[in-house]
Amino acid sequence: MSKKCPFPDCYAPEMSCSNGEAKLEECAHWKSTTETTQSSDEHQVKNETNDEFLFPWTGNAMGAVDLNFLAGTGSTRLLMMAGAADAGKTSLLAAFYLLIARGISPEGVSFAGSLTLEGWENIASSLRWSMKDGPSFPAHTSSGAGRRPGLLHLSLRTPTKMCELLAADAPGEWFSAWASNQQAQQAEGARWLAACSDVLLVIADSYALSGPARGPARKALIDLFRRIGSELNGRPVALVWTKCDVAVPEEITNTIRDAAARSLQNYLEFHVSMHPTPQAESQNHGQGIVELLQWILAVSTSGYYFSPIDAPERAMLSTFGAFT
Amino acid sequence: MNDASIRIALFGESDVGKSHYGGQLLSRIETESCELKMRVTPADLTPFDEVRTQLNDGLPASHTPSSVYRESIWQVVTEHGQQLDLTWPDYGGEQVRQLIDTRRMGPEWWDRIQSADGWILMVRPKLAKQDADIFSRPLGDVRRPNTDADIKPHRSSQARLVELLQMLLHSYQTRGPGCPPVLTVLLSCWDELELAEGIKPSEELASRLPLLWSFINNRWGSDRSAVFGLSALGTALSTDKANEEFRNRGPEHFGYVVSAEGQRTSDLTLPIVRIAEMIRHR
Repeated sequence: MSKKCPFPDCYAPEMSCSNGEAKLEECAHWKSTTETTQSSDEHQVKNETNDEFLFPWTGNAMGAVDLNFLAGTGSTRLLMMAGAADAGKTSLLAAFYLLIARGISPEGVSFAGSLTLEGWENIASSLRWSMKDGPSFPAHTSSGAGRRPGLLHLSLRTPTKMCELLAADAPGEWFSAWASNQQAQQAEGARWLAACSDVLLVIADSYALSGPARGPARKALIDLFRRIGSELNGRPVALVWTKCDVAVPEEITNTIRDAAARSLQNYLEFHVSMHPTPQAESQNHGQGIVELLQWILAVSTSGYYFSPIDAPERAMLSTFGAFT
Repeated sequence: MNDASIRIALFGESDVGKSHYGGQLLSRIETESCELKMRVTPADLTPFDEVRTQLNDGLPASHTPSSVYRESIWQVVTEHGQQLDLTWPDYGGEQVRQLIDTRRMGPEWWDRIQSADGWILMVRPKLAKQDADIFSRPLGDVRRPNTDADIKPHRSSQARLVELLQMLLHSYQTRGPGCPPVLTVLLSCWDELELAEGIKPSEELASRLPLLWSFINNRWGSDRSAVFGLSALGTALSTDKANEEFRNRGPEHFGYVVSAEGQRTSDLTLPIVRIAEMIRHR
């Protein structure tokens, strides 16, 4: 079907009416389109959507506009994972989902729903043994034409409350561009995330930092620390060493820690890997991943004001809370 | 509540055993070999006629056509004298698959969801098993040739089932605030899991489909949801060779339900009785 609702930010008939009508034919905006169509086309549209009930989420990663649906009650937590391309950001997100789907989660945390199950399944499928060739790491997240990151959502019950966790699966190129030039055209998504996020992770790729291109990788990471440090405003931040089963030369580790201390000041450090430690092979949950998720959910995020001008979507969630 | 009607909305994709359960349930109620007894002979037995004829001939029922949706009304009474009018559906499971895949709900399904007092989700664990992933099978095996012949790429079943329940909840909530109907999960074809007696169905659900179990726990809670094991026939029937015992003794002598405590009982109406209890305490 080629017809779309003319109302701004309404994606009917793919999704339900953003005007709140249960049936599309009851929406004035939708009717205004169908009434002006050619008779054969009109017939087709009415037949396909007349009485059908549609849903306000697609299951795929959400855009900023979709956040409206989360406005309700409860609390949201938007997670920014900043790091170079191929640093393991998408794999880390996929690991969160796969572990939760196996019933492995931080103590007192349990799965209570997701508006982006299809999106999670998409990034997690490459880490499954469902393909003939076995698991591989997720394909590169394309920087493509999108200007805002795809957001993946999890409703999690925590020991204290329901938490609507939103994690951005953003391409590394955005952060590289943003670290070099805050106003770079390619960095709009990174700027949006920096303005909207509650919890920030800076990803240090152990593999890159120990490989032949470790010098440029170190420089890029330190640039990213500076950029994040300048926009942090007291929000919680962690330095996450991915692929931590790979040893990073001590000199590089020390330089990075010094730079992080200068730019980020109060930060925590996590070491994560899909490989379990030799002593914990039977637990099947890699290293550090559950601990990192626990911190993301538990760390205090109060005391930061989201400006409605810089981050209107985030300010709305702060005002109205999140749907549960 | 002395007199009530209970309308069941049953959700299950193809091959989970909806028709077998419906047919066996009717046979059990008719022969009075269960807690529910028929008050009045049903006016229309045709919805399950073919299923019951096949089972009495020792053969499995044929696949319910995808376009079919029919309801039976059984007027029953419980052991405690509670009178219930039970509305039980039978349909082709493709309709549920289509709902999940197309994300469009026809008005008839919307009405069924709104008007039901209890929802039953039928899951056949053997068809809904999880793929191994990088955590359950060590990464060291990544380069090892895959010898599992039955591994095919597909989305996880539990994510599909959670999405189905989310869609049901959302459509139900469009009519206004309020608790959704009580939920019963039936883990069907329990016999093919070859489990020891005493295993609790809820523990089996939690270990096989943790995402689904956690979702149900958080959205319904233990007082508004229940999990049973179900083997409607007690054994698998073959289309090639009729089961002589089914022919001679009748299918109503076969099949069992596994209670929440893990006890097997031949009373296939146990989940319905539990639904009636949960509704009464709403």
